[in-house]
Amino acid sequence: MSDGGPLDEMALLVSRAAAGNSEAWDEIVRRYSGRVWAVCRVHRLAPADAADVFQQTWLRVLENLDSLRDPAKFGAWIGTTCRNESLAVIRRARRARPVDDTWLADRPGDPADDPAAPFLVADRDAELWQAFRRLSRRCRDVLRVLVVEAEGGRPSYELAAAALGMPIGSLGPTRGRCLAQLRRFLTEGIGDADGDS
Amino acid sequence: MNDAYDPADERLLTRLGDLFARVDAPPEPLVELARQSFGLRALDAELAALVEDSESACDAAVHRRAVAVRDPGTAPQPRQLTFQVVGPHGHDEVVIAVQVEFLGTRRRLTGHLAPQGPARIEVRQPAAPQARRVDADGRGLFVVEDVLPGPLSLTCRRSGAPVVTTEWTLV
Repeated sequence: MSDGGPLDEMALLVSRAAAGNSEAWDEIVRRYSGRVWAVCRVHRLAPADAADVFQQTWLRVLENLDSLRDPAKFGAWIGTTCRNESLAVIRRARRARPVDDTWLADRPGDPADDPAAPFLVADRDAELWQAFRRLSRRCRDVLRVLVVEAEGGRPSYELAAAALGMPIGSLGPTRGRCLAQLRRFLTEGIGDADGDS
Repeated sequence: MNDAYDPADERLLTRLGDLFARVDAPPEPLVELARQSFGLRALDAELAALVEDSESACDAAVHRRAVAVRDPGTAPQPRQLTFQVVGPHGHDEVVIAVQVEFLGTRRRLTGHLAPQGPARIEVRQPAAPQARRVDADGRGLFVVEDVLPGPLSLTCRRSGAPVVTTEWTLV
């Protein structure tokens, strides 16, 4: 995991941004926006809430740049922050709609639950999409957060573990298990079973 | 982490990554706002941390929920936020206490400063193109109307004291 190159580069970017370089900031945003968005998505936030949490997460990063120079901690910090902000929004939304408990079980915002989404997917991806939708929610979340990486970067396990509230050591095995399941679904082709569990 | 690199796993992850990059990338206007937020840095200001939030108390949701079930017509109760700068010797230097009222799609802030005294309060929101300014009176009281839902930060300027800015908070 000691991938020295990219980490050194991140340290440099954060230092430069902290010193006021807006191009460095733009680059950090470019590298991490997909990951922050993925964390919003796995929390099934409604679109307006996802937009708020996304913005709020970036403002918190900005406010804490000086203390985020250790790049190994950067991913975990951003994952934790986005998760906490997401959970706070969910808590407040639950308070605002107290009568019906079940609404939480099926929140909008998970692309895998969006019936329109498959039409956006090219043919070559349709099979993969269908197989992905059959995975358990846990597997979808783990893979969703892990697959997003910057160009030439690596998946950020620190970020994913923090964002999902999982011990980092369990992420590798879970990933392996979920991918095996996904491969099985792919082999079976598009079945009629709705394997959502 | 035992990251046994299975090339087949890596290929599958890459395919998934490409898929999500196409069907569920972060919306470009949001990414642009994140870039522009760099201009919202509070330079040379002391950060007032959020030390109390009535919404984050563990039992707050349960309590409010019980209240709301009894009286479903009630508007959400105001939220209480307390921001504070702690000095080098561990005592409070500045406290900014804010009550957030929910008025439809807008928020109203009622705040007070300690130590009390007049101040200029700057209201920053990424959704608003310009920071707004209101005055706190001689007792350190201030009101901000028509606040947009979303991230918010207040900056407090008073003569003879360091500039203080609150931690970004979603309201």
